[in-house]
Amino acid sequence: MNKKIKILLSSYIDGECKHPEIVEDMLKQNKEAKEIYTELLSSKKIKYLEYKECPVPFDKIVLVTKKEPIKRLLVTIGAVAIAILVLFPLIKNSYQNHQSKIKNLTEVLK
Amino acid sequence: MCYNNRENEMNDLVIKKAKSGDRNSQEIIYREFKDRIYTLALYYTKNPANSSDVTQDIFIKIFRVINKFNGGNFKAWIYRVSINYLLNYVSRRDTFVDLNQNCMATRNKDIEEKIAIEKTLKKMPEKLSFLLILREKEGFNYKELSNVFGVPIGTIKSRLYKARKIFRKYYGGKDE
Repeated sequence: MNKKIKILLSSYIDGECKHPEIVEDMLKQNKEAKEIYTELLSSKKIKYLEYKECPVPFDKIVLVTKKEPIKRLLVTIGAVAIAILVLFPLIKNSYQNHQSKIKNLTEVLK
Repeated sequence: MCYNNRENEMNDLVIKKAKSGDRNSQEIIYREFKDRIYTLALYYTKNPANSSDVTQDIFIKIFRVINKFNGGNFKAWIYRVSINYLLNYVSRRDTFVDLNQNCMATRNKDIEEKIAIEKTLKKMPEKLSFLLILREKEGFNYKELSNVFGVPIGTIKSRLYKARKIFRKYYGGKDE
């Protein structure tokens, strides 16, 4: 049987078929269509499954979400501290070079 | 959290408060959806301990990104965040854990059938089992499913057919 017709039967089961009367006629007249329809219907059993009870208390969700801003703040402070440690010698050197250049220039001008 | 007209206003208020960080509102949302998401995680990870951790992570994620929810079907949005998280960040285990192993002594025909259904869902490709659960258990329509999975309605139709075919194959032990 054509796959499109099988998809149509599946849509009919969900009540999402544009022309249900066509499918109903087909189910009355076509034995193979009726068999496929019956087989596809077996998925309806899923409706009777029960949800499993989640053992996680809400407190656990609260604890982690409350920690999050503190964690972010610590990471930011750490990143800034590392950046200062790395950049400080470079900035210091650059400043000293600049100062010595100015000193040299002043001497030349004198 | 029901979705009739009378309670929609209350739900909007709960969501609005949850967005601003109100813990009571977040707890209402958590209590409403925790078992559904835990069950979904259980079908995916096949392990109760992992599912607890994953459920916890998913709700942390939900409350972190809840400001991005701009109206519409909140239940569909919750499922979209949860399914995206499961598919992208959680590795699926191949070992099978019987979800009803504690009920061995009291098994009857109904329980046996439920176990068979659960086993079938766990054997299926995860996207297809999620799709079937949302359609058959949660009653999502095609438009909502399209929203959750981020695919066109035509794709939902063909995937649902495929999911039913595979479900029947594993559940009934019948090929095609």
